[in-house]
Amino acid sequence: MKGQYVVLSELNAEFLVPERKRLMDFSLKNHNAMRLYKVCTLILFIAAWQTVDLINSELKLYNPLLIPSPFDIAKKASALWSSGALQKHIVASVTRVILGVLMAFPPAIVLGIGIARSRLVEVVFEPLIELIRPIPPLAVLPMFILWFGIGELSKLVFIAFAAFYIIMTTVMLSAANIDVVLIRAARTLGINGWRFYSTIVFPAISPDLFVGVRLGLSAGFVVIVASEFIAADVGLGYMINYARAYFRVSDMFVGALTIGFIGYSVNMLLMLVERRIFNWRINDER
Amino acid sequence: MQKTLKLRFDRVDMVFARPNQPPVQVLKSISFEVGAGEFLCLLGPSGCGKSTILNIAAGLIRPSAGTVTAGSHLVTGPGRDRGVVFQEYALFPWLTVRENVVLGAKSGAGKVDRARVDHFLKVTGMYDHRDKYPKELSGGMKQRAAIARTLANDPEIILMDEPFGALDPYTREALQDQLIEIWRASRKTILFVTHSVEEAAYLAGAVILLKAHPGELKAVIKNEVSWPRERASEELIGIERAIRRAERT
Repeated sequence: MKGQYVVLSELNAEFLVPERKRLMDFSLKNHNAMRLYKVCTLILFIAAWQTVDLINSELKLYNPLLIPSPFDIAKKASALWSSGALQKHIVASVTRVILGVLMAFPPAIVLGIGIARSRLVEVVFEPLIELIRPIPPLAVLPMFILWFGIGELSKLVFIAFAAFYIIMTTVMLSAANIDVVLIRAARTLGINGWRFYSTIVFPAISPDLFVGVRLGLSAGFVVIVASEFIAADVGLGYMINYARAYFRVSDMFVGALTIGFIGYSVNMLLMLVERRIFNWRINDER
Repeated sequence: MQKTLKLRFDRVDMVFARPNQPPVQVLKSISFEVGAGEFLCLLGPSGCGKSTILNIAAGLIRPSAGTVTAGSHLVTGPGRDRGVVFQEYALFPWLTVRENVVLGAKSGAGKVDRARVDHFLKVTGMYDHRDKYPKELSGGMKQRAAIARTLANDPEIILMDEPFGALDPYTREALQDQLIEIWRASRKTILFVTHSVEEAAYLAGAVILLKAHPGELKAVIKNEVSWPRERASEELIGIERAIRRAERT
């Protein structure tokens, strides 16, 4: 009995030790500090890069034309921005991605829900979809260009193709996993037919659908560049490829970083919206 | 006097086929009747198929043999005439309490009777919580909202599948009393599944005792103790004793 007491008090003692003052607080409570540290990492990285560039300008370790310094890239970006060229490319690329994902949206929803909830739709469409799924979108881009021309349409179809699989798969999994009890409750309440889909299935899958759209947009930004490499006269992919032809490495960096930045911002924005509109979700403890 | 029947099971069998295993008989020749305004409890150990009986009555699953009649028609699928209260509450998480109840009230006619919705929210004590989402509610409140939703749909018979099984004892007793109040005021027919002898003895007008493997009717114990009943009273303990005695035989 006594031994047990000692052990217990020793255990408790550990909790009672005053917390050591640390240089950096990595505890879970300190959410904002963590964010700050992460920003510091980025700043340190850029500073280090700039320093290496400075050293290199003295020692000539590598060809500075191949790897411009952060300062050069920023300068280039601001030049491209003030000339209006960067905005033009951004608008073109973003418009293509959004339109492409919008094109993928209706068939992805209908087939995703259909396959999950109807044996007939599953039998007819699933084998075909699974057959095409493993094909990388890039592999079909040349065919799309033959079929849809080198204009806007081939790029939109290409992005839609890449986004379709992601949205459809999320919708399908989500619709297949709707809580059986909710479906039974709906049935016993006399909710049938179209009403069943509009008032039960659609709201139930809407958070996952939103995630699907978010991932679909990300996929769109991943593949847009490739299609703009091949046939385009505007867009960030075109900008990068054009810069390659004229050996403007800073322009290439600006283009790549811009796509990354847009992709990141769109994702963050949608995550924010998602948390807002789906606050009814049960496991929403973030 | 001929009583109006609300639900009738006639020699219902249920056999579940299993892949690579012999089929399992869950229900064997189940027959019973529920008259209008009755409060009937299905009581038995787990594996006796009491939830299966309820699901068959709801039309959610089809029996392998036998017939189920609700009112004057054969049960072939789920219908508004048979409302179900699930143990897992089954509230739609994207709707507020009120919207959940409205969904029940809207199912048939198309138009929503606001006064009716409010009435059932008040009856179940959920009126003050009507704009909350299910995730903001405790288990007891969720079940009260689910009961309000079922009542608003105005079913002929209410099927309850261990509705208070997941609640703590205090909340359970409070909800039992509330249910009895609603039942006595509305004279609805209720078929109530439970595995608690105490709960069955307190609530039911008649207890159907089932045995397991396969699920078969074992005994029917009438409970004519008049309302208001007192928990742990001599009479109710007598009923409990009768149930337990029947269980052992």
